[in-house]
Amino acid sequence: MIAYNKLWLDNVQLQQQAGREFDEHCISKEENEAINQKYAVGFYMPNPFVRIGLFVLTVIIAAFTLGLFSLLFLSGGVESFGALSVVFGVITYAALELMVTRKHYKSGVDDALLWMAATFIVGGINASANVPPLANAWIIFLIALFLSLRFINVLMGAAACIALTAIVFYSYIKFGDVAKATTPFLIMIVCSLIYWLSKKLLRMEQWRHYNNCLTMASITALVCFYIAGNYFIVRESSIAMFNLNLQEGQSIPLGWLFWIFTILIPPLYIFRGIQKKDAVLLRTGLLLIAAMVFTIRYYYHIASIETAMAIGGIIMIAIAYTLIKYLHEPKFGFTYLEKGDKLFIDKLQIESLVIAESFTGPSAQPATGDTQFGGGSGGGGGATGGF
Amino acid sequence: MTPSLTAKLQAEGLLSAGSAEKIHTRQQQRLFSVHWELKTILYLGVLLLSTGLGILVYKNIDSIGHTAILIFIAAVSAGGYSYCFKKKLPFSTGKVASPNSFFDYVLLLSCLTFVTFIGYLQYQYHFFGDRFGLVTFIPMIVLFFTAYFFDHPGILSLAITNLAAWAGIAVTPTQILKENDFNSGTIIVTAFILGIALIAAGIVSRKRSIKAHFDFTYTNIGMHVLFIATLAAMFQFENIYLLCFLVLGSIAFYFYREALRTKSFYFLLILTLYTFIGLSYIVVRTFLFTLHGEMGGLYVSFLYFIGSGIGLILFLIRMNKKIKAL
Repeated sequence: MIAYNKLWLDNVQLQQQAGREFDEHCISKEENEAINQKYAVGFYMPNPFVRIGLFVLTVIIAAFTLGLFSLLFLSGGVESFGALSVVFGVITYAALELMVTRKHYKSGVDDALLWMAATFIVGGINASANVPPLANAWIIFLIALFLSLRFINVLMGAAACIALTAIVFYSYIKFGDVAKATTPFLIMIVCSLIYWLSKKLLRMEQWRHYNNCLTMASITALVCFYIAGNYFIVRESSIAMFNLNLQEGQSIPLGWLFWIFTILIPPLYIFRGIQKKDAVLLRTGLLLIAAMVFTIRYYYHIASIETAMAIGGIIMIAIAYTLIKYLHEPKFGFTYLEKGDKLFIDKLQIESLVIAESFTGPSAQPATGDTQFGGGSGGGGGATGGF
Repeated sequence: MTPSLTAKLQAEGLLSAGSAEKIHTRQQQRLFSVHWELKTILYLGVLLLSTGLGILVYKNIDSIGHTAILIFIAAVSAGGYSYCFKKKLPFSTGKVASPNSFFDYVLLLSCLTFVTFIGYLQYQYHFFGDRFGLVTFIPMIVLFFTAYFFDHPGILSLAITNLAAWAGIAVTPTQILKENDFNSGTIIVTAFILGIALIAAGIVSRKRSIKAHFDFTYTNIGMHVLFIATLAAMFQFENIYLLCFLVLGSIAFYFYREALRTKSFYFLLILTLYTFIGLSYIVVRTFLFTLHGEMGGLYVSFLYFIGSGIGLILFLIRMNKKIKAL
């Protein structure tokens, strides 16, 4: 099923593991090189920046080729463009298969072709015919599932999970009012199943090539699980999609239950993450805390936004400060020390760019007659108010 | 590395017993690092707190009184700075590590409050009169001093942003294209000079070994400003657009050499993309406007994009090999 050379895929993983041990000073440079030599990888895998460049250029080539095709063959309207787009999507897919036989693996070229093929086919079908949402979900699910299985693409895996949830959603709500009222619970069950299955497969040797896809699937499942139970989502989507008639400030049936989900799920994720030392659960939980805060603030204005920000800031600084002090020496298997893996982030000094970006408010200098400068922004510092 | 894999590699003679032992020990400790999680929380906390306080002060200005606020802001800034002066490691022209994990954030907070302080002083009391340049100039000097004295690349970025603002240009990633009016010749020329100055500052840092690790910050911002200014000049100054393209080519060549020297794939990517934009402009302009190519011109332009795209892909693939082999 997998298009890439499986032996090399194994070797890529092995080399990565050896590299990690090397970064942690567990193995010597010679040993690392010997391992890399013995378990050689024949893929064409360029540097991440080159990968970005190849991605952009491939997208440009494909887009202009489609443009050229349209100039040559098209005279009709949107429908014929849709048909051409589907045909072109198939051609793009053929190009993808060809590039993979030419040993491209995560080179930017195969990433771009994969995405273009999927987009052209799905977009083309939708442009040429009026596809109902359920059918669309099926189309996306089948294409994304196939591509993620064949090209072990992480984002396609996530797309497949979301499409699957959408299939369940659109199929189930056809059964009438009771079904509509119980949709959130069904989605939550489906997400639990996806999470459970991906966790199970993650432990199985024969699924090892799909590790990243399965991790992504589990993250998607966790997030969708939360979304399905989130008060804001349930209330607003009931109003928008099921014509539920609610007054301003009126709650939905079982509102209290959804409030419990909204507030309890993120801390629960974090708690389980700490307990199991599971980075996926921990980080997802931390992210969802933000969603929880936004949901609460949307309905209850406990404090003005600036007070909430200041207090929230103080709490976050206090938590971080305490934990960093506490974990200065590793405790219970947790540490504040950085892991050995050198990230992209360090290399580009992303942190300093983020600082310059987020602390520079749009506070324009007053333009005056006697200076030709002015109208510049920046240098404001502090109050960005971008929240 | 799993124990079975370690054993396998050891049996194949690829790992020494000592290394296998080390891997085993590390496995047993299995430390779980929460470094990035905590750092992100800390950073978001500082951002939320400083923003929240800023708005609070702004909204309650009538009841608190300006002097009180000014004193408060000054106190935060002075307090932070005095902490940093006390804690800092001895100055050196090389890289100096921060004494602890909070140092960088305290320093950042002190700097930001100082900038707010100066802005406030001007806004409320017109302290600097009509010399608006001073309002950005003084924080800029302080920021540069802080960046060098305490060795903080983040504050250096802020200082460069301030320098650009003083010259009338916005240089942060999301603002550089949005906020600047590149139809104005003055802005283009200023940006061009600023870009060259920043790149020169990078070279000086490196050659003189004065905080040589600041080189990248200067060069990176300078490179983008310079490329964008040159492209803007090309689009704007109709008469000399070919000359501008030559300038663009020379800049690209300079960074090509730099990419090879520093083995930087990043420079390679950036120079390729900017040059591609410039070249495409010339080609499309020539076929569609100068030669009035009509449909034929459109076909040729499309073919050009496909052909040059393939050409650049081959170029990047070759360069990837070349830089890797260096």
